[in-house]
Amino acid sequence: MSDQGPELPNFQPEAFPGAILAGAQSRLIPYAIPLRFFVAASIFQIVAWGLVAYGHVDVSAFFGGYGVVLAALHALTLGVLAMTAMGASYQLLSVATGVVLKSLLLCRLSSWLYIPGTGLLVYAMFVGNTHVMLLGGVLVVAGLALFGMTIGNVFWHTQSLQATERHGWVALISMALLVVAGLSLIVDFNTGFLGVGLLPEHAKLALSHGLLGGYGFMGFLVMGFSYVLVPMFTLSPTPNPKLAGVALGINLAGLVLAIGGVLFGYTAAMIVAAVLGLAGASIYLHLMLKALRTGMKRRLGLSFVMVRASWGLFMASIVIGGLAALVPLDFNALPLFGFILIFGWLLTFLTGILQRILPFLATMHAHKLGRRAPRLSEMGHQNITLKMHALCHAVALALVSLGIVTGLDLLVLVGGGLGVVGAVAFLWFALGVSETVMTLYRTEEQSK
Amino acid sequence: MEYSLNICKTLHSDHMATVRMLEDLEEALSKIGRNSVPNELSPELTNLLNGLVAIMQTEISSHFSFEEENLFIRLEQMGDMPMLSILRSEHDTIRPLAEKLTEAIETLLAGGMTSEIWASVYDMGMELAEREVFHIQKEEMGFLPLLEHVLTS
Repeated sequence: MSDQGPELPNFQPEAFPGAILAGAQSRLIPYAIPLRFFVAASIFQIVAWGLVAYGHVDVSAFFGGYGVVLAALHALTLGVLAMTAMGASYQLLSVATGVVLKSLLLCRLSSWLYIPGTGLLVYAMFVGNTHVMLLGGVLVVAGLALFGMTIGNVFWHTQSLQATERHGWVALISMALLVVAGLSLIVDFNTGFLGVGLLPEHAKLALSHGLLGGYGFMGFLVMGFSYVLVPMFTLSPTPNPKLAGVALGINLAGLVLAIGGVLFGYTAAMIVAAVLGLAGASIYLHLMLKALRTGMKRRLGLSFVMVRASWGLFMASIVIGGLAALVPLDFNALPLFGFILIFGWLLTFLTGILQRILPFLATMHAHKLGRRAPRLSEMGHQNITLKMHALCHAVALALVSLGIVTGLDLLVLVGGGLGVVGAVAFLWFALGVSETVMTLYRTEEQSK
Repeated sequence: MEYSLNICKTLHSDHMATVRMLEDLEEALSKIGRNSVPNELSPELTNLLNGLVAIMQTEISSHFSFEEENLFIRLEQMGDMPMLSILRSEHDTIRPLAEKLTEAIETLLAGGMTSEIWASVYDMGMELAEREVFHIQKEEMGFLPLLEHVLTS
């Protein structure tokens, strides 16, 4: 990376996550790279909620197969969650670990493959075209592979932030398994090769694919990043790395057991997995809540209302997952589990954190240009956009959950509609913040 | 973070006091609102504003000068430090804001409550709270750990 600045020798920011700022400005990557992922994620959030509303009659009875619900799921998982994780990882990991990204071209290339690939895949799932689905899937996998190589290289070279690094490795391994399962599922739509011999059945592999994506790839990435971001925003000491390691081990054991239980049809294994998941999540939440209690900052704003809510939804997802293993058909427990895991925990957490990261990045770019930094609260019309997003998001989650449990499709329709309104507000916020930064760069260009 | 050096401990406790005071200010101003001008200042708000003036005169002004004249220079001698230019630029933004806010609060405390004065105290108070807390965040996360590392190695 050409714009890396000088560093003090031997300074490893390992004692305190926030020490990352010692070299933050010099490791800022071009704004256009994270921005394209964040804006794409904001757009896909509208698409995902829109598809939930459009396919409201199919949501509560969803048990797999292509169509509008599968498209909604992937618009959210690939389009919003992984998209946000890619943009955030490219910028934050190099800053947080002090390891310079190997190549910005790889980051750009991953976006060129991944963003249209996701669009194509979601479209193909919606219309049920398996050939286009495969093309989209290959592009997505190629983008993810470049992402994995880039951040894998950072994890390989870092000597700091062990909790984040360990979670990162587990997330990357999950991602590798996830894409193999995903591509197999797409191919199986045409060939029906799954379920033959030792190969798992389509439905079982699909559920395992969901667990790998939700708890494996995204879940571990979210937990790993939490150990940096939450102390950074609350101004608290580093969470105990040993306890973070214990939580990781228990959660990983739970995930392996859950997938084994699903693939081999052992309900008892899935129940034990849920118990392990609850134990691991409790340790993680204990560390997070301790960071909130001991942090210098008490007023953490709307973003942390969302983050706290997401933690509750994380626990709820595991409980519902356990119930779904026992009684998958009662109260539509399985679709509810998927919804709470993905739209509940992960989406709520990521939008809560993203609303902090975007203005924070904007101020760093202002400083880089030698300009007076704009006020955090003045960017992106937050008084309207973020409040509207949070309100609509909360009501949408409640209505769609209730709609799934009761089978009342109208609730899913209204919930999905409100989700769209909230997502539009979030896009408005993201574009507003981006506009601030773009204006700074335009002014800089003109002044040359 | 636990610091071993007295200088870092002192700067950290300055930060703690300032963050606490500014969060209280933000909360008090938010409760009253910009457009609902209080008829008179409550004893709690008066105490808060007096405390804020003291913080701005001592903690912010002296603290900034001490850092710039003694600490930033020492770190800059070790090489180009982009973080320090951020901190200096934030000092340059916060210092005049704190001065103007002090003047407005002193007018308010002297009995000059008007809607314009209240609005300016509100606006500047909210801006100061946001900018100074964000600045402290950077110092706590980047500057103090670096300072401790440099001075102890």
